[in-house]
Amino acid sequence: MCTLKTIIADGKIIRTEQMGTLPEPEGDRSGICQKGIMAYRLVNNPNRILYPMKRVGKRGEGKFERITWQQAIDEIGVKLREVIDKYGPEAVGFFTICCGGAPVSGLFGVIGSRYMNLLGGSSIGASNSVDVGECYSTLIDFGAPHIWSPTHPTFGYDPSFLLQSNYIVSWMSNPMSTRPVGVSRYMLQAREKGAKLVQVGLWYDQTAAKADWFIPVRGGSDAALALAMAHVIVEENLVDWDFMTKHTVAPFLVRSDNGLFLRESDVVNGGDAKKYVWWDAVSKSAKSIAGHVLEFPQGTLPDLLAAPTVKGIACKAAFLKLKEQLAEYTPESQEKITGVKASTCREFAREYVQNRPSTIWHMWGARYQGSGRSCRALVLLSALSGNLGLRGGRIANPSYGSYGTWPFYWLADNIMYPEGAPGAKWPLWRDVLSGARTGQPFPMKATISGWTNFVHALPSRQDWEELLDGTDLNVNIEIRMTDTSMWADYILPDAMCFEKYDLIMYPQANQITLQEPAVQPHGECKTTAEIYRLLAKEVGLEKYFEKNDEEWVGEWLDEIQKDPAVAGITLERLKKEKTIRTNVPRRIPDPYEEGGLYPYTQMAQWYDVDIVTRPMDFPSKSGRVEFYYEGYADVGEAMARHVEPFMLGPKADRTKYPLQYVSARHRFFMQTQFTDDPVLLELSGKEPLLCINPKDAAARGIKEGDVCEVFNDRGSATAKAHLTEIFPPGVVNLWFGYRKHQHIAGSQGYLQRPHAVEESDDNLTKRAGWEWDMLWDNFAEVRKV
Amino acid sequence: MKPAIVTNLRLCFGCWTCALGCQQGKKLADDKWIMKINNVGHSSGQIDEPAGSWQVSADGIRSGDLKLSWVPVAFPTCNLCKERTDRGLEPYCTYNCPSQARIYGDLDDPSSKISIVMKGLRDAGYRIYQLPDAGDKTHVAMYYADKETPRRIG
Repeated sequence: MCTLKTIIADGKIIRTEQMGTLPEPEGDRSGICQKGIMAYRLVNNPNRILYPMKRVGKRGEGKFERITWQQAIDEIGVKLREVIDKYGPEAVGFFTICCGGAPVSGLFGVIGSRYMNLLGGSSIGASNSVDVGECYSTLIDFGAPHIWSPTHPTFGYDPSFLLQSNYIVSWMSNPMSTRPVGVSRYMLQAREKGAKLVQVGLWYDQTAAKADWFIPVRGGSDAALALAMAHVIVEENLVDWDFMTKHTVAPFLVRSDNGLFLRESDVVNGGDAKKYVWWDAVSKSAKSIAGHVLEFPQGTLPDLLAAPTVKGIACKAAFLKLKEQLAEYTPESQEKITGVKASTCREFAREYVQNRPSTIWHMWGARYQGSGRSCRALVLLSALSGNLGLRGGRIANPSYGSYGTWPFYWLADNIMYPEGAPGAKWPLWRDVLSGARTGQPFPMKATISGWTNFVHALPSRQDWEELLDGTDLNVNIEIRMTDTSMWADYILPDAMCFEKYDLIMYPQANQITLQEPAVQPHGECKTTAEIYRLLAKEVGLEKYFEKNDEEWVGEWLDEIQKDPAVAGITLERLKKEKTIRTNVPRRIPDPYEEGGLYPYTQMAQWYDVDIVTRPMDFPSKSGRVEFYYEGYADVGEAMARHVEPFMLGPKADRTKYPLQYVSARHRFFMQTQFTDDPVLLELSGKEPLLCINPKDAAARGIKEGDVCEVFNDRGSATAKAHLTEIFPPGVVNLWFGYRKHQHIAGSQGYLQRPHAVEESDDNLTKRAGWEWDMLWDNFAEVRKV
Repeated sequence: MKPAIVTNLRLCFGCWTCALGCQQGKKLADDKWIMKINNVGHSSGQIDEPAGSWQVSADGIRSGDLKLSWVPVAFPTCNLCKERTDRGLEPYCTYNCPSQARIYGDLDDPSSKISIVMKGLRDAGYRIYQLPDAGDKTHVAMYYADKETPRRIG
């Protein structure tokens, strides 16, 4: 969600532009991208939904008639109460998350969340599925999925920190396309200052084009390359031993019998079950240390390669376990998996260590069953090289935002859960879909969706269409007709960002902007607060929704005052200053001197997180980077490893479907928005094009512009072929954003496997409910129609 | 007074924000442009299309001679947003550039931002040039700065 300046003439919005200078010491400019320039055109777009609409045709057909608000709310109320009485409130599914902050997000979904939790509905919008790779690695390696602080090595990253890097690796990300404002600027400015930019990726995207070194990898093989680099770092003694000793579990002894860390209580009568045992090379004896204690006693030397037997228990130091695991990941053996030469792998590993501080920038680009493991492998590289503890080093997943703005999401508990506890259910997607089909584990009989186009955006589109076809009620809150609105019974017209109060957390730059209405809501559009007040009245929740949008903004700001990162940012100040810098340093502080983690107590309860307040102390139980995670030792997942992608892996039958199928984001669209803007449509290529490498096209007798079907065992889409070298041989792409009707037939989502892959043999799916999204883990074949 | 715009092409990543900012700011029709982004790569007409091709060896090693860059060009109808600069505002294209690759100013004034930036780039070994057909298809006041550094694939 970016900040825009809206220019008005004669009561009408005539353009949007970048906001000017930010309240920053360096006087940095705000930013804007193509989509921001065109955002004002959404207000008067002919597809804008201006009145409540009721379905008159079949579901999915898109035939609607205008009705009054009174009729819409009355009829929705009757059906909603019927569903709740008959099936219980959990039969009402909510999909109100918005990716990237839609222009209508409504306090980023906080008000929608309040409604869902008070009602006791089910969130079908987020489960342990989408975007979990980065979350997983952070949870496992650092002990908490979302912790923000100036010193936290993955989250809470300000992209201006890149200016202090000497070597920037963009891995599983394409910021030049997807983050033109917040990230690309600093990456390129750092490059101007002499930093080397390396892009590791599947195809020749805009970031590859800007990079000094583009290292292409086979789909889903990222972990194999990273682990082979780790192999080189260990083999060539490029390890930062001090960092590994003080800040990782490297010295701790692991029991050979059960894979758990050896505890003091295992070897000493009455010993502390929370103390870890390590081997002292000086005294040649076992000693113990508590979690969150980073320094070892003077005169001792932890032996990271020890393999002692302590009180009859055979053990190995965690680092030795790592070294043994890395033995199989040689640069030579990864060649076949990744398509990267062994010599390239070695050079890359050396450069990454020797050019410190080096940053790894990764961003949701691993859409395979192994995505979480790939992310762990990157964390391992950052730790082994010591970059994790360096100013200008670290590893960044910027998508989770800047640490100064996250309190807004995580300290809104009192708004989201006014009765003290979350009342909503969070079923896995497989349970949502099975609930719709069989009523088990509970029926799914109504949906309320807003600010999201999930039918289009989620994989396995046919499953979501089936869900929406089988319910008793579908309500969609929108600004324009989407492929999801097409399945609604009622569409409620939402006010846009230009028409209501809200807060804007400028992406990744640590400022808060007050969004003030520039114009009155168009047509009969209503604001977030107004719509939920109407919906609340129908189910007896009206007393919780009396505030207007401006008052909600004020309450939200009051709530977050308890956080030092944003304390002092009040509605009063924002009205005067418009944009305020959060209370976090502009430049990355030295991780060893400053910082501390903000204690998000609610999160701590959910995830059993240790609250830490000292620099370079992690919320994991050991207080260290747990590259060896004992919790998953029983399923062989204690350390990062490479697993072949699911559908692209060796077990898949590639004779029928030899190509990898992906659906990439187009730079002129924001998710599924802007595909109906004639200018951006023209620039994007006018229609969804099936991108195929000329070599693959020649093998199939396909020429530019031929109408082709891309298909697999799940579904198909038909579009004109475009022969291009953007994608390597063996990879076929159908751009993500376009609406279904813009295709000749089908749509991109029909070919994708659902997240909830029942047939997957993935240990972590079975063991811990991690359902990796597999948006790119699909195969296909292409034929001329 | 010699108003001009310099673009540091190393900072440009071809996003079209400048061209769209110009088109929308000047209220041009949807198919009219005062400036555009040239795709320096393949000539297929598709944006972001690289030149060169992928090479995948028999044993699966990936490499290639792919190349892609961008040059924002202005047509003679560009007036360097005189109506804006007269009021102390910047042209739409420089104002909205997300990576601040483009700088507007007076080349006759050695203390202007454009003069300082251009001197800095020249001193740092950048090639400063105008397109060969300046004055014809492209605008005379457009300057470009670039510096080739080694690139590698695979």
